[in-house]
Amino acid sequence: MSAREWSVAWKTLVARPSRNERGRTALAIVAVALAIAVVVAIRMANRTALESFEQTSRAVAGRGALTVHGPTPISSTLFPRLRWLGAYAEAEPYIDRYAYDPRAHDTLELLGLDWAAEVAHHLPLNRNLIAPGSRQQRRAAVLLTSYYAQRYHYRRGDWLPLVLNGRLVRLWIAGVLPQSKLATAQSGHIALMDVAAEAHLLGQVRGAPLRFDGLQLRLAPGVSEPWLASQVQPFLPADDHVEPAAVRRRQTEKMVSAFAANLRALSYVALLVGAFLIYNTIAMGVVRRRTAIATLRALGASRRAILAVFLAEALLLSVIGGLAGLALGRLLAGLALHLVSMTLNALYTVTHPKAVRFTAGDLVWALILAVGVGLISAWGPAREAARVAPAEGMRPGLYETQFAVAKHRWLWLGLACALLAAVCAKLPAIGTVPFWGFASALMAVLGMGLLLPFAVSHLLRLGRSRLLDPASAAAGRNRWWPLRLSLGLAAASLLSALRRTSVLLAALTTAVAMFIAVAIMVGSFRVTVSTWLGETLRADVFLRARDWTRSNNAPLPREVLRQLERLPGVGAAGEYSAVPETYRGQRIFISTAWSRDLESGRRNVRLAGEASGPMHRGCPLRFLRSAGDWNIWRRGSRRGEVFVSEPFARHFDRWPGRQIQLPTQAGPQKLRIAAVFRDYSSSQGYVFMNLALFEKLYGKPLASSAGLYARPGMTVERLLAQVTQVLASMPGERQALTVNDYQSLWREALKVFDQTFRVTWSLELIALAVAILGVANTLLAVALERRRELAVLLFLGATRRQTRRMLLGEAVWIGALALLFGTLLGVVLAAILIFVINVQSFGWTIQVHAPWTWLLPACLLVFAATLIAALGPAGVAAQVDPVAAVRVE
Amino acid sequence: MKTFLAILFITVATLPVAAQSAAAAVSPGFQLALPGYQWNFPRDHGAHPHFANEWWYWTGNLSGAHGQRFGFELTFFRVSPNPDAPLDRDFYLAHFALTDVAGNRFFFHERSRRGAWGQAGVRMVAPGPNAGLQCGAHSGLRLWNENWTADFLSSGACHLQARWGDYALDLQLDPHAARMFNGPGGLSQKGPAHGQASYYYSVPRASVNGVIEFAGSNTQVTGAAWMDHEFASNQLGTNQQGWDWMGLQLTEAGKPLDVMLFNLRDTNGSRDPYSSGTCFVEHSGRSPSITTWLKASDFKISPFLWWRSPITRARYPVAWTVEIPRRGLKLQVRAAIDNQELRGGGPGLAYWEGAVVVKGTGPGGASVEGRGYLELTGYAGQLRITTAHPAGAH
Repeated sequence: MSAREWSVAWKTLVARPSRNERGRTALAIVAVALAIAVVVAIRMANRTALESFEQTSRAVAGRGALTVHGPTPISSTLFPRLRWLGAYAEAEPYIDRYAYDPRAHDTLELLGLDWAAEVAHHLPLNRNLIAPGSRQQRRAAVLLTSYYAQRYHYRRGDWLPLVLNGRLVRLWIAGVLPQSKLATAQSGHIALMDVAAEAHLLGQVRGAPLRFDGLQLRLAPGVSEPWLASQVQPFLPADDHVEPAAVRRRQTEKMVSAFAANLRALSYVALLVGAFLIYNTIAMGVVRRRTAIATLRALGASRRAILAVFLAEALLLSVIGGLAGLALGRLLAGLALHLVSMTLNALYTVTHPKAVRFTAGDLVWALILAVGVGLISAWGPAREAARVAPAEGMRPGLYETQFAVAKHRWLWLGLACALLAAVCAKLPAIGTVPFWGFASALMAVLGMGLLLPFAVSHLLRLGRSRLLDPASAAAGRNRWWPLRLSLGLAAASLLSALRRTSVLLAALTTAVAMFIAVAIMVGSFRVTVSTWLGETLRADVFLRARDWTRSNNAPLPREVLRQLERLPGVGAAGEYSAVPETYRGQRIFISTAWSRDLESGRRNVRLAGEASGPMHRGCPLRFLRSAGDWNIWRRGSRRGEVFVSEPFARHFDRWPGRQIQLPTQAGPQKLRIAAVFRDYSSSQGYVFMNLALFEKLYGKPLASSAGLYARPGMTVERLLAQVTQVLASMPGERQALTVNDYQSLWREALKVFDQTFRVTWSLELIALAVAILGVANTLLAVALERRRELAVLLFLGATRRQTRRMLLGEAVWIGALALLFGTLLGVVLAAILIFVINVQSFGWTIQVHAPWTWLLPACLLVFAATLIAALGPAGVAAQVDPVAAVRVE
Repeated sequence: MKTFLAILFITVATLPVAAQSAAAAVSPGFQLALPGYQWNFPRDHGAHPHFANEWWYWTGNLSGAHGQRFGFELTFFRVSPNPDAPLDRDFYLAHFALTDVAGNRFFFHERSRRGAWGQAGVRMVAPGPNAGLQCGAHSGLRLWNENWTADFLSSGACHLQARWGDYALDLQLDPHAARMFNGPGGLSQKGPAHGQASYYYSVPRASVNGVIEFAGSNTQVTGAAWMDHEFASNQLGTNQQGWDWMGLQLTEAGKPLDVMLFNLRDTNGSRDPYSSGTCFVEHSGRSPSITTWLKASDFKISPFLWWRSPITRARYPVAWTVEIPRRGLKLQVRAAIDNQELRGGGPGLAYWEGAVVVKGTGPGGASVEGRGYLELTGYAGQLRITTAHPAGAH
């Protein structure tokens, strides 16, 4: 291919037409840009969120090569027996907790290290930590990062209020950590103090042996990690582990990665829609320039030159779209990160991601995606262009019919895809990432795309023959006739361009389907969670430590609880406790709850006024497969059996009747599962047992949350007022506790829920916007391309209003068909999301509950948007200059 | 006498009690080193908790069967940064270093621990049926910092053990070595003020037998060790920049002569008048030991070669001429290898301590030679006591 040949072909086939159709080119670029922006934004947000974990784990845990940790604290009495270890490693105790800063309304990781051991480890800890000050100050001395100090205006010598383990404590800021690796952990939301001081702050008794969260081991050069781990293990409590330092946080990281993978998968939906649109743009370009192609071929242009020119056009579109998408994605990423980290904090653990960073990798990735998608989707149309024979191409009017639509072959392919989708839906998850679930969804989308030509052609043909039926046309020329006529003509027109129609429909159908699927999934989920909350939150007033998070099981101060229970308005009290454990290498929680009738003092009794409710207050759980909750609970508890949460059962495949072996204070214990209960509060597994069993296996529990039940005749408002009044007299506790009534807790829980799905929604809305842009783009092309046909119609006496209406008629068909097939596909995808992807990622069963009340109006809105998108192209159609249009040069 | 370092370190880091005040201030509850101390061994090998700072250290030059030369250093420090807080009452620091002269290789490791949890400490182990369980095969006095131990055995011998990865030592020290007191009655005056002194004795020449492991290879060694033990509460009110210390085991006309010198350098560059030293001739046959105490004016030392550390950029004087006119000694002291720099505890706290070779002449020009250890502190930049914290040196 010569340069001249190329330049002529480029000018004729791309440059000139594009200039004439600036709007259309711009729309295509915007569609690509939006799709790429979504992918890039999610990619950046995910990466930043995950990086924050990695960085923290490197900075904190990564200081030692190995860590010793476990549910049983490491006692300082262990040290004399570990002296031999000094030959191979430096062992340093640590305590690592989260604390809540009520002044800044932010969370801090409070890391306790042994200042004495740190002296030899080059940490700035020793320099300032026990700086001159009173004994009281030294006991509470803490180092803040310069980031945190600056952000919240703390200075050296200030007192820092923190809610630590359910209590308000005051720490004395002995200094600011200089820039170091450790200071970058949690993006600066970290504070250091002496491990012994932190132990005392946590309520450990002065003078008694201290208990630490674990040990960090720094190995001597040449010492093998596995060997040393095997040597240390026999000295540890049975359920404690020696692991490479990063592993501990990796557990959380793994869960978060699953969440990130789900988001990433959703973000690619927008890209898929974008791919359909690029295909369509190029395909239509080919159709509209058939004459030009044929002329060029007749003048000696090679097939390769034609192919190259169309691929180059796709490349140009994708690169411009990709770059614009990158810029837009960078803007959206901040927002996405905010949403993602809110979700992570609500569901998993405390994380403080830093600002989104743009890397060369993002640039490369965005371009690869844009160019890859562009070239792949343009390949088919470009090849068709290259095949145009000079003679046939020059005959006007022959365009679409020349493309034999192999719709029957596609039908079979589509059915095969549907079958594959069904098979994939049955395959298990890989880890917690529902890879096959996503594959199944993709197959369903592809299958629908392939079935569309067949289904659409039948429907359109039916529509055309019904609407333009000569008999009825003759009989009933009523006032509906113009509408029937334009719809019928539109159907005929769409039918004559079946390929283009199918591709456009595939894009819109996919977007509509994903939108509907997510709506059904989230709607069902919300109703399920809301119902579950209503059934499980039975108390009237709820108490929780301010620094309580999923990963920081802060207890409630017992004496405050006792004082509140003595309030005259309180009839009964329930308390709940959960302790972290490790089961098969994963973090789980062992939980228990108990309630007391405050008059009789009896435990776990049925409380007054409960019988009428759907749930017995005495039984804290909702079971998966039965309504007779109270009896299952009583029978299982009597037998010393345990109850596992649904995510636990699914994740570990442990169901009623099976035994699980749990690490306990008295060594590993085999326990039988009595039943599985619903739990939407966490995708981490919970094992629930009654108080007696819990006390036997784990000792007396510390309540991490509590509920107060109003005495009969007492309103919740008055009880809440009483509680608030008591707390007002205790300023420390007031800051350390969160108090909610039933209503506000319920609202708060649903708020967290809604936050969680805000990203998902945004992604689907953008995909939908991309698809509707596609409709505008395509109809504009239709209007331009059929100028000659419209001109002929005008010569035959059609009015401009009629031609306009005909184009709108096409939009009506497209919108209606997309909604029809989109709803069908949407229901299938919703089923895959609910029954496959959701179950595999989180382990939750969701009661299907489609939110039709707002989904129907939303569908109408999509339909309206399609029509509005068609207004512009229709206007173009109405302005056709018939003389110019029919003139043949 | 990284004591200086250790104490500086701990006081800067942790000691608020004595803060900012004058040198003469002493932490409440501690005793001062004053004349008239009644020494009592083996008790005084052990810890003296009424004194704020204390250290034991062993250095020595060793040889393998094929003439390989090694230096070793094993030191234990006890500091009381915060006597009224049980968990911070005792802090232990330890250094372990090996020098492979032929291979020009140097190894060191630093370790620090609280005493409160039994990771480090000093304890008398009474001979008895359980002694073996608690203290290996030994009974007597044990110093330990994790697995690094020094045992004073009931026989009077000393057993040193340390390992960090592929580096280790296991040395038996001669039970019959003589003690030398540094200063009259073992009181080493460090300044003009009342109690501005330390109790300080040495065992300057104990023959050694044992094994060292350097980078995984074992060598049977023999040689001579030098032990120092010093304790004080407030020996220095200092404006010192650092000091130079040396402990030399010499042979003068076929007879052993041990020399300890320390030279305190003030921040203004001058030599502190309380620099001092000891010459010691061990008893032999019927003749008793002879101890000569040297004042600052009794000896002159000056450097003539320097080595710059590639890591800290500190410039250390690694070769010295020493003159002790009273004894007719003129000596040249040179590092066995240049790089024997220890970098512990943080920036600015690096120092040099290593094996040296000594050559020179005695009275009448007779040849004198020997080996020893040299310590150089205050050369690595910011080593500076800005306020008058208690700090110590030999």
